[in-house]
Amino acid sequence: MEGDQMRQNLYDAQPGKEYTVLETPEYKLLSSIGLFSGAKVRMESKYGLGGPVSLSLSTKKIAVGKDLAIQIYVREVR
Amino acid sequence: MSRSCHELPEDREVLELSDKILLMGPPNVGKSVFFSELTSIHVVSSNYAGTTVSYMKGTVPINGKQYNLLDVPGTYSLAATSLAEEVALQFLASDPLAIVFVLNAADLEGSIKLLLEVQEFNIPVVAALNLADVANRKGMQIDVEALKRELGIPIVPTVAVKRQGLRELVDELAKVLASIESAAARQGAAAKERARSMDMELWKRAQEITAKCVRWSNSQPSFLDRLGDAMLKPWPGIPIAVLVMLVSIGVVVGAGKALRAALLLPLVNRGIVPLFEALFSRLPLPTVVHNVLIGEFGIFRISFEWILALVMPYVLLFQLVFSFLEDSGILPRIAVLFDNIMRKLGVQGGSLINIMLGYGCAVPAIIGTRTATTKKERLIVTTIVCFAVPCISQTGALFSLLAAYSYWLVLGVLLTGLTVFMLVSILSSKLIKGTVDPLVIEIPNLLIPERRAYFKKFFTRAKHFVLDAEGPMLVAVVIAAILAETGLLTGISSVLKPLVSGWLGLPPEASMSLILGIIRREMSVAPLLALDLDSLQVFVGAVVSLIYLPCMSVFAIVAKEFGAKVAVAITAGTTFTALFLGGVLNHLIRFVVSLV
Repeated sequence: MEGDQMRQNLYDAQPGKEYTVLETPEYKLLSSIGLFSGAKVRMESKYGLGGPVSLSLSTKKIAVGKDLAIQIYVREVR
Repeated sequence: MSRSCHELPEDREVLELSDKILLMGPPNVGKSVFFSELTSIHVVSSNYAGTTVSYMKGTVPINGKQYNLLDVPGTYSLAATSLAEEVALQFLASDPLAIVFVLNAADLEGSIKLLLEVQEFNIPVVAALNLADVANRKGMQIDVEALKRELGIPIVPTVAVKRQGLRELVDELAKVLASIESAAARQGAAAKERARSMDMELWKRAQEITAKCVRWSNSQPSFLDRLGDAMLKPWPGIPIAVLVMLVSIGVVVGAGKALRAALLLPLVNRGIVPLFEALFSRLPLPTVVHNVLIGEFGIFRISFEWILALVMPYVLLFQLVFSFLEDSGILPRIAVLFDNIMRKLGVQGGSLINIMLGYGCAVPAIIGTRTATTKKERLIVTTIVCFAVPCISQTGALFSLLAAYSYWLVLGVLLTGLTVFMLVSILSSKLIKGTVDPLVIEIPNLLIPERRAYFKKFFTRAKHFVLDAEGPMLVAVVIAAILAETGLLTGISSVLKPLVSGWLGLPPEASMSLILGIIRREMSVAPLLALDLDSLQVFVGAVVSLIYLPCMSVFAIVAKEFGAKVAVAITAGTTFTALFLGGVLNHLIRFVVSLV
């Protein structure tokens, strides 16, 4: 129950916090860039007006469009 | 191995080459630098004559034998999600002897993952560990010996832009090739079946290897790293991005104008043209021939006025500025910052990079769309570039034409162009079937381009522009000279008069713009410079030429990438839109002015 409460979509994650990816949609480009369940990400920035989110993923930075980010579920690392 | 369904016709010849060595690696790791440093003969296949392809081919002499080195487009994976990845897969399946793989030290995990995928093809690999300087800046120390053990292949640390480690890399490659040649019973292509693993397993393995081979030290992020991070945040990223673009445009247009006024126009008008005038006046030539050579529209006058003084300064400055933007890592940041706007226009931020490339030339922009993941996105970007994105030659010519009247006209045409851009984007995304995938992009580290590699790239591009564009431009000049100086133009103009004068409100001789515009875009602008036009005529002429036909090279590349039907549709669409909009603007503005 507690786990479900902490589950949220990536688009609503907060900049500066770290998250574990729980679930991603079937989208080849995500796994080829290294974003799949189990991956650790740090939310960097969010861009208004339907813009993407940018993340730190190991040593690199990536950006993911809103339409994908709302389908990716994460849990905050405390 | 099954052939890919999207097989590219021009690849077949290259796929069948013998003694192939593939140069592979993730995008933006400096493969092209390796390529130009390793190959002695420089054969760049991406020219503008319609034989354009997405890889480069050259030869490397090793052990006294010539090998074909192929620069394969950089990809993050081999999943065939884009045309670029399909091209990479085709190369891997074409029985190459060996692979030179370039690892990105600053993103070791990602490049090891791709390397593991490549190793599944059972082709001998020699790896270069490039960008170690960037990795050190981030506080990473890489244990190369441990990495060799883990991956089981030779690895050479390199700083390609400074030529460090290249000789050692070639030595390792020579050893591998020698062992292949001596193993007489080389396995056939059939034995090289690919052992496919899941992406996640590969990532886990890549993480393990990285953890074993990298030591982290605490390092203060450098100024460039902090700037790179700041440019990624909406504030101050968006103002910085806007500033960078304005400064880039300012440098190209301002310096181009200065170069033209201070150096090139005096050189042409007071040096070169009088020289030819003196020369031809001494020869006993019939009047018509004399006029074709050096009359008001003579070949030896307008070829220098148009090509040298009008087109060249802007083209060269654009290449200088755009190469910097490309090499520095600014473009992906712009793509992220403006993804929201592009999304509303029906595409995604990543397309912005190709569209910006189109402000240089539409041909590489259209080829660049091969990295897009859906055909719909490729088609939308191609349509936008053909309709509303003037190439730099044309921009230079338009600017020279308009700025001579008023900067308000420059602004007016700019805004008209942007409006058409947005309308075409929204309309084509509604009309073309299919979907556009959301943005997924890796943001590279911000870099100061290394001087030697930067200028080498600039000179290569400048050389190719001269080689590829000079021919069509000269053809246009010769046609212009013959039409204008033999009286043929008068005949054509009287036929086109209802359209050119009645509808567009331009003098009949402006029909030359419509004829030359078929060959090259800037050539539809150049003839307008010589006509005595009023402000409205200049505005209408500029708008028509902006939207009018893509040039012949662009037609060829669209036909090749999407088929003749699409090329004809785009050509018909641009021609109709240009003439329709030009006429409407002409009559509308005249009507409004008559009311005032």
